[in-house]
Amino acid sequence: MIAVLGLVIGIVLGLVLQPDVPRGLEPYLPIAVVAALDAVFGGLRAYLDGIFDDKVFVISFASNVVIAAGIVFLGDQLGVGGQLSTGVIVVLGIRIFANVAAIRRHLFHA
Amino acid sequence: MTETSQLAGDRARTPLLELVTRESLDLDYHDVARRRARQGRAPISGPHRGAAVAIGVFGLLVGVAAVQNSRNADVEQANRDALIERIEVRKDAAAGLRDRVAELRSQNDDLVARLVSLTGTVEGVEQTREELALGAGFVAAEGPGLRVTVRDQAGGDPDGLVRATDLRVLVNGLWEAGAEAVAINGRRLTALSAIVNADIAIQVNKGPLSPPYVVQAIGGPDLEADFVETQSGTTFLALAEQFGFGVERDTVPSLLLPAAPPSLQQLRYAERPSASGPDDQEATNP
Repeated sequence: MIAVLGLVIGIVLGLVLQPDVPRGLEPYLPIAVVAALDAVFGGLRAYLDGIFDDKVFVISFASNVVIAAGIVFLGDQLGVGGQLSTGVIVVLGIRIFANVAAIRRHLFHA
Repeated sequence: MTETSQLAGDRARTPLLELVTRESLDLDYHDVARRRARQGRAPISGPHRGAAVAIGVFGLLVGVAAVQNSRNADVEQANRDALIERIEVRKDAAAGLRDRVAELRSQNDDLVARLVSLTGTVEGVEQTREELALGAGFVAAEGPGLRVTVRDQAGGDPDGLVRATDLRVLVNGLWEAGAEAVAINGRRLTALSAIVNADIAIQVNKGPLSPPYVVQAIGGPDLEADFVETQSGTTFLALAEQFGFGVERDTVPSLLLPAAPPSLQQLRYAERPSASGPDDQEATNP
């Protein structure tokens, strides 16, 4: 419940404040969002599995965001930013799908 | 420990995609849960404040990304509109330039055609001028013709001297026979030339001549035959017979007649009539 509240507050804050993202960080924002989404679905699945842990979730969230952005940044510096972000998104997308499938099994017992 | 190493061996042998799918849930959750179970602690419960904060950050990220995206979309749309507008403007300009190219090309064609026709006219005029200059004595002339050498009577009788009138008759006969250029003792005859008596000498182009008088005329191969048949020709031959002049007629394959002296090439008073005639167009057209 408190998590849903946090999500709503965060979205509202983002929409209301409309902070300016620095130009340099702009390309990494979508990747960071996908990485965070992966961490969130992982956390939700762990929660439904009954093994959720605050610390693990926060660490996986932060490291996911930082590592995904870092990989894309590195790719940009090497001139293969586009390919690397595609790779990151594919891996994260697979994980998200697998986690969502597990969540679905939990919720619908199917 | 064996479990962990076996797990590591499995990991190394598992294809990447399958591994990703299998470990979609972070192993940390399992590790922590197992550790807790070993230590006999209860599974976590209660308010997950850290998780709430992280989720809040996630929401913030999503919101910011959405806002940024829509803002960028606006900017991109504006960019695209501006680009499209510029393309249209440039297209119009290019079309205008193409029209101008076509116009200039057709103008150029017209001018080239005019140039060609003018060049033809100029050539015609030039040729006419050349012919006129040849006939009028303004340039030296070369060609086949007739050379008539006239000497005074051998006896030295004053009546037997060749007079200007005799030469005039001879020259008239040559002109009548179709001569195109005539010179006497190397003095070219022009429209301004006169053959006159001065004392006992004959003057042509205001210079005295000394016998024998060599009259050279450029004309066709039939010049001699034609000359003999003209009225002036027969008159001259009769005069020569009567006064005993020595006359030699040679048809020569090549004669070179000089141009008239410059003083005879200048028209001081005569000029083209100013009223527009059929020839006037060439004079006024540059």
